[in-house]
Amino acid sequence: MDFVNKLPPMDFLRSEEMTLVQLIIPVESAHRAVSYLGELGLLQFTDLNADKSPFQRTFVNQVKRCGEISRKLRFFKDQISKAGMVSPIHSSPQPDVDLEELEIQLSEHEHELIEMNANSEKLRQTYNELLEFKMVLQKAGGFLVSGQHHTVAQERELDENLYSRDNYADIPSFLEQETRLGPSNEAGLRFISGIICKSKALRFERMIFRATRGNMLFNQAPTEKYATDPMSVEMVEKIVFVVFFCVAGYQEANPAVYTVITFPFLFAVMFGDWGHGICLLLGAIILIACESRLGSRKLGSFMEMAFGGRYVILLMALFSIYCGLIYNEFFSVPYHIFGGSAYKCRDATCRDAHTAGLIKYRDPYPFGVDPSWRGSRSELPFLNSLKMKMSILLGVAQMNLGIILSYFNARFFGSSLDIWYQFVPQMIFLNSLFGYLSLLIVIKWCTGSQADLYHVMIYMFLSPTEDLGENQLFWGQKPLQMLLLLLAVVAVPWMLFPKPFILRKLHLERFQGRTYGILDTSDMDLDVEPDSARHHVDEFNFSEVFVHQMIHSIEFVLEAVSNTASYLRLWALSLAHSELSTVFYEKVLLLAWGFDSILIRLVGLAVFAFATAFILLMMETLSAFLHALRLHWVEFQNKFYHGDGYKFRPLSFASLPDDED
Amino acid sequence: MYGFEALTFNIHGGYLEAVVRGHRSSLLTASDYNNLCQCETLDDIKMHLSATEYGPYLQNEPSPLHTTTIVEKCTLKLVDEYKHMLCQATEPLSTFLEYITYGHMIDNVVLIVTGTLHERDVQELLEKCHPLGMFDSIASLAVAQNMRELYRLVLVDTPLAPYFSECITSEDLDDMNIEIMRNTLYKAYLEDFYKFCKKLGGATAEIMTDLLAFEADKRAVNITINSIGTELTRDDRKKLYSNFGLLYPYGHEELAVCEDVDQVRGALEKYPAYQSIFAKLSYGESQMLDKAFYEEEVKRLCLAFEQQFHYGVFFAYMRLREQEIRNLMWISECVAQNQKSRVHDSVVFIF
Repeated sequence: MDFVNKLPPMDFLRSEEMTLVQLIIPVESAHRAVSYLGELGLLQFTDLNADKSPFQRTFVNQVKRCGEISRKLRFFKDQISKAGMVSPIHSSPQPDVDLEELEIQLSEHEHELIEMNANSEKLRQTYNELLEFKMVLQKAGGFLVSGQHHTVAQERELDENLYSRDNYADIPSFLEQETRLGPSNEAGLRFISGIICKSKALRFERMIFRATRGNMLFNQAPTEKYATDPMSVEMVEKIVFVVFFCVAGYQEANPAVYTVITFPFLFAVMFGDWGHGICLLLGAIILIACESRLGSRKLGSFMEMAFGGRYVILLMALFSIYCGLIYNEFFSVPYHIFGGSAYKCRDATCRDAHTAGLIKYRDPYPFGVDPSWRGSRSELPFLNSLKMKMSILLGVAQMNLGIILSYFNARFFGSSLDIWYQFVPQMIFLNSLFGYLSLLIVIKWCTGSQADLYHVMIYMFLSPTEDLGENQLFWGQKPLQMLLLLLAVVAVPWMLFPKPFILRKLHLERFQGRTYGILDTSDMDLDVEPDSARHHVDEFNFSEVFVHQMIHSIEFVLEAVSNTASYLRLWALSLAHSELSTVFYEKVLLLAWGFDSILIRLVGLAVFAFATAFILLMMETLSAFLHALRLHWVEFQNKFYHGDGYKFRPLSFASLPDDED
Repeated sequence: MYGFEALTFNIHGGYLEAVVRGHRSSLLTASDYNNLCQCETLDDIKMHLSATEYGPYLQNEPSPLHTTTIVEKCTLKLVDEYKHMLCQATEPLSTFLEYITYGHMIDNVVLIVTGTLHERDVQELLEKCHPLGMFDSIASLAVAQNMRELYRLVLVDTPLAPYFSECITSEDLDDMNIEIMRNTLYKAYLEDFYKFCKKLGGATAEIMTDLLAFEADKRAVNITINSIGTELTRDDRKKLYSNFGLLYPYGHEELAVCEDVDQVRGALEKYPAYQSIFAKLSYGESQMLDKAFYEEEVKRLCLAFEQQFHYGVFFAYMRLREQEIRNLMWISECVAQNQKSRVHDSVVFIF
C-alpha cells in the first residue's frame, strides 16, 4: 500500500502511464489471487475469451454457483428490507470466506426463511378470515335485526360465505349451493352475506341483479379499514441514466488543460457586458459559498449541472466583466470609466454631430471602445468590422494551437512521419492563407489603411499577378501573395501522397523475410511499436490507408475555410446580445421612465428586470455557452483530438456497492 | 391522406414507435437460439437468458426451475412492456393496442369454460390464463351453464360483448359447442379488427389488413383441417370462415368441401402466396403445417417493420414476442424431457 502513496501526482496534460501485464496463475490459487487483487483495486481485467460462449469458459460451474448464492443474498436483502430492518454493513472484508460453507449455510437459511414465510402467511390468512367472519356477523346481523319484524315466522337460512379478496371475486361457491326451504311452504327469503372489496361492490351488485333477474335487495355497509393486504406490489422504478462522455485516447494530449481558460474567454467574447457579468459573478459566488451545503443535498438535474460547473461559471463571469469593459457595455450603457471620450463635436452646438460627425481631439480612449460610439450612425459598421476581425484573429490563433498540440502528440508518440507529412503541411496551408489574413488585419489596424481585405483575399486566388493598386498594404505584397499561394498549393499533395507510400514501405521492411504470417494467438502482440497508424494487423491494406489519408487531407483543406468562417459566430452572438440589451434598455426602461406615473415606471422596471434575467442572463448564457463549447469540440479539437479511449475500471471490491447503485 | 403520415404521426405516436422498435431489437437472434438449443439443463437456459433482456425477470428464480416458470416470466416481460405502452398511448392507438389482446381474452374465456366443464378448480384455471387477456369478473365464467348465461352474467360488460350476437344459443356447453363458440367469436373479432384498421386508413390500414387477412386465411385452413372427420357440417364450417382475406370467397367454397389434407393443399395451391407454404410439406404430411404457417407469418411480421409511421409495428411486435415465447417453451420442454433432437422441429427463427 505504501507503493501507491509514493507515486508521483498525475500530470494533467496526458493520462497516466499504464502497463499491460499478463498473469499466469495456477488454477487452485486463482480465486485467492483474484480476490486479493480485487481488494487492492488497481487492476483492470480484459476478457481474453470474449468470443467464447458462456459454456466454453473454464469456470462456468463456479459462476453458476455464485449466481445462485447471489440470488439467495438478494432474496435475503429483499426480505430484510420488507421487514423494515437495516442490514449492518461490515467495513472490513472478511479474511478468507469459504464459499462452499457459505453456500451450504445460505441454502439452509433460505429454506428456513421460506418455511417461516409460508407459515406466517397461513397464519395471517386464517386471522384475516376470522376477522372477516366477525365483521360479517356484526354488520349483517344489523341488517337482519332491522328486517326481523317483517319476517318473524320464517326460518331463515343464513348462508355465510366468505369472499376472498383476490382480484377476481369467487362467485361460484354461493350460486351452486342449495338453500333449504323452511317448513312453511312459502318460498323463504334467502340471505347471502359476505364481505367484498369496496371497489368490486358495484360489479358484484350488477352481477347478482342479473343472476336473480332483478329480484334482490342489496344492502351494504362499509367496514373500517383492517387487515392489510398481504400482496402489496412494490414497483421500484430504476431510472437509468445514460451518461454520454468522451474519454481521451491513451496518453494523448488532454484539451481540457487549455479549454479551462479558452472556453470562458470565448464565452465572454459572445456575452460581453460587464453588468450582466456582475450578475453572473454573484450567482457563481453564491454557488461556491454554499458548496458545502448544496453538495450534500440532492438537486434537480438542471441545478446539479449548474452546481457542478460553479467554478467554470466563476471564470465565465470574470471574463465577461473583462470583455464587457472592452466593449464598454453596462446593460448596454457605455460609461466613461477610463477617462473622457476622445471625440468631441465640431462646434459648441453639436449641430453636425449626425451629419459630418465628431472630430478626434485627444489620444484614443485608453481601454476599450470609446463611449462616443454608442448611438452614433456609424456605430454598427464600426463595431461589426471590429468584432469580425477580432473573431478571425481568435479563430486562427485557436486553430494554430490545435495543430501545435497535434505536433506535441506526434512527438510524444515518436512518430516523425506524422510531424513531417501532416503537421508541417497543415501549418503551412493554414498559415499561408488564414495566418496571412490575420497579418493583413493587424497591419490594417496599425496603419489605418482603407484597403478592402475581402478584395485582397479573393483576388489573391483569382488573379494573383494583377496589380493591387489602392489595396496595397505594404511593400512587396504581390510577390508575397504569390509565394504564399504557391506554398498552399504545394502543401496539399504534401499532406496527401507521401504518408501512405512511406507506411507501406515501412510495413514491407518490418515483415520482410517472414514467409509465414504471424499466427493469431490470443496473447497480445508483445513487440508493439508506437506506430503512427497504430495497427497491429499483419495485412496492410494500401487502398484503405490511401483513401483514409485522402479523406483526412481533403477534410482539412475544406475545413480550413469553413472553420475560420465558423468563428464569426463570436461576432454574431455578441452583436445579438448587445442589440437585445439595447432594445430592452431603450424601448422598455427609458420609455417607461419617460412617463410621470410611478406605476408605469415600476411596471417598466419590472419588465426590464424580467427580460434581463430570463432572456439575457439565462437564454443568452446558455446560447453563448453552447456555441463556445461547439467551437472547442469541432474547430479546436478536430485538429488533434481522437478521444477513442476508455475509462479505467479496476476490479475493486471497495467500489462495487457504488457500481450497483 | 395516405403518404403524409410523416408529418403528424410523431406527435402522438412517435415515442411509442421508438419504444416498440427498441423492444424489437431485443428479440432473440438465431445465434441465441443456437446457444439455447445446446443447453443441457434448464439452469443453462436460465444462464443464457440472463445475458439477454430476460435477465432481470429470471434472475431471482430459485434453482430447480420448471418450464412453466420460464414461460411465465417471459410472458410477464411481454405484459410489462404492453402495459407500459398502453398507458402511454392516446386514441386511436390505445384502442388498437386493446384490440390486440381480445384474441387472448377469447382464449381465456374458452379455457375457463372448458376447464369448468371438466370439473377443474377455478383458481388453477385462472393461473393458466394468459395475463394479457385478463379482465375483471373472469372467474365468474365458471358459473355459466350455457352460452346465454355466459353472455348475460359476465361477458356483456367486456369488450367481447358485440361478438356474441351470432353465437348465443340456449344449448348447454359441451366440447363441440365451445370450439364453435371460440371460432365464431374469433371470426367476429377479426372482422371487427379489420374494419377498425380500415377505418384508421393510411399505412396502418394497408399493413394491418394484409396481416389480418393472412391470419384469417390461416385460421380457415386450420378449422378445415381440424374439422375433417368430425360432425361439423359443411355449412357450419363455412360459417366459421371470416369474410375477408385472400381466400374469400372462392377459396372458402373449396375449403368447405374438403375432406382430407390433400384436397386442402389442392385448394390452396391456386393462390401463389400460399403455395410456398405447402411446397415445404410432402404429400400427406400435416404435422409441419403449423411450423410452415408460423414461418410465413414471422416473415410477414418482420416486413411490417420496414415501414414507419403506422401502428402495424405494435401488432407485429406482440406477435413476434409471442412466437419467441413459444420457441422458448418448446426448447425448454425439449431440454427438460431430454429430447434435444426434436428441438428444431418447432423453433421458428425470427432473425
